[in-house]
Amino acid sequence: MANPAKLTINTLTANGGFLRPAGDAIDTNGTVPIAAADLGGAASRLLLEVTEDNVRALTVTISRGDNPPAVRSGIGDINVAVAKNTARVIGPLDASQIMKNDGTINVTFTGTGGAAACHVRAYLLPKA
Amino acid sequence: MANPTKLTVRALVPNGARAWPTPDVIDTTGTVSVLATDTGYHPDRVALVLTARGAVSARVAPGDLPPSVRSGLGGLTVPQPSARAASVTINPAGANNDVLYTANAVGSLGNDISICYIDPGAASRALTVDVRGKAIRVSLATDASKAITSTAAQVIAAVNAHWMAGFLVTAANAPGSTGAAAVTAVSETHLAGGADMDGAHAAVTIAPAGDNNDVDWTAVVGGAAGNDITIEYENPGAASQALTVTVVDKAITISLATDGASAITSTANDVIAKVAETAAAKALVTGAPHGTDTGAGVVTAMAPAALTGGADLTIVCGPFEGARFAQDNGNLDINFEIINGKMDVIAFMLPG
Repeated sequence: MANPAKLTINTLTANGGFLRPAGDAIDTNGTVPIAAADLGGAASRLLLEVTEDNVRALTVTISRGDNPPAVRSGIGDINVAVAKNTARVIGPLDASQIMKNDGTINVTFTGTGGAAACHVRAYLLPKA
Repeated sequence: MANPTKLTVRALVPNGARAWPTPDVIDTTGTVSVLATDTGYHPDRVALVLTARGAVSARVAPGDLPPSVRSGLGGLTVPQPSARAASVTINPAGANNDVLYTANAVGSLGNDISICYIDPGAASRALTVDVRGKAIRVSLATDASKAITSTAAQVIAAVNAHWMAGFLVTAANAPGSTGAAAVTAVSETHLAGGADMDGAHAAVTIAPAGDNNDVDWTAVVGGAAGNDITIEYENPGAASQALTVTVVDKAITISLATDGASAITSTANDVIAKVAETAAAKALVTGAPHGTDTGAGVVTAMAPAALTGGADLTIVCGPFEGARFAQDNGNLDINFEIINGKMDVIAFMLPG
């Protein structure tokens, strides 16, 4: 197997709902982008749910963006530790810190002492 | 257990990270609110993660007007990727007159449908069906001496042919009933068991050597917990023993009946019936002959077998429109209906 070419976006709509998706399987250390076209210009409404597959702890890194457009990219990367067999909710994410100049957002998965093994569900929240 | 007094709100903050929360557990039918004080009076920012570990429903209650100017649109039932229909068997006195009514639309709203049989108390009346709201009223036919003459079969035909009643339900002979006998008056009885969400039910087929003795065992309550159930057929190894069922936690042990020569005499149907009359076992599983098996074949001892395939069902839903669902105190009310099992609920507060 290999990591997906991009993370799948699951869009929440007001008063709507859906079956919780299985999530994208991550089994290799590396970066998986979230495509700009899938975000529809709403990168600041992105929420990630990362569930470690009971293999090893990992670190999820949402890379700093490019300035422009990410005027707050100087704050740096967002690093979130995910312990073995746990799940973390990350975000919503601030596009002004993490958006690349082509509109993508890069998420890097790094296992502790081996390949990362987790499932990722990416949700796009509706406008407030 | 009992429901929590309120749903716990977990606030999400931009660029923040938090552990996946421990859910609130709902195990009783009733309303539980997301409090305005926990959302900063922003019920419109609440998203829910609902996990069905059984047959359950959740509806967001319509708000008050004011402030909810769109409350007239009514409440909101969460999506129904796995729902089951409400049903009821109307069982008047006597044989061959039982009728099974099943809601045509799956989900909890079918539980609002009711049936009643009315004795008109007058002579020479025709069989008629009337629907008021979701109440189906069957006025029975009588002869010249005011005796009821409508048979179950005639009631079934009349209900199914009625434009509204036939839309709400499907009537059929209950198992074992021919429908040939007359019915009697029955007071208003609601359909029950309809649910908007139901976990996948664990199941196993026990197939001893021989014919017509395979049994499909299915967990009564849907969800992953059903995979913990085991079933064992045990040879008592002694003469003239009775068929018995014992349950320890989720382990069902069926000790088979024997004759004077210590030979097993229990058939598959015997085993199914014994489980169905043993409360602790009946609460865990239901049995049915497998495929075209008749169930008349004698079973043999079988090692414990675990049910498999049970799975919880999780829905992500919301946020919910404040102009439709906000109560006049700012709360968001969720009406839960628990047919069996329970529901896990996580309420997230989205940032503005």
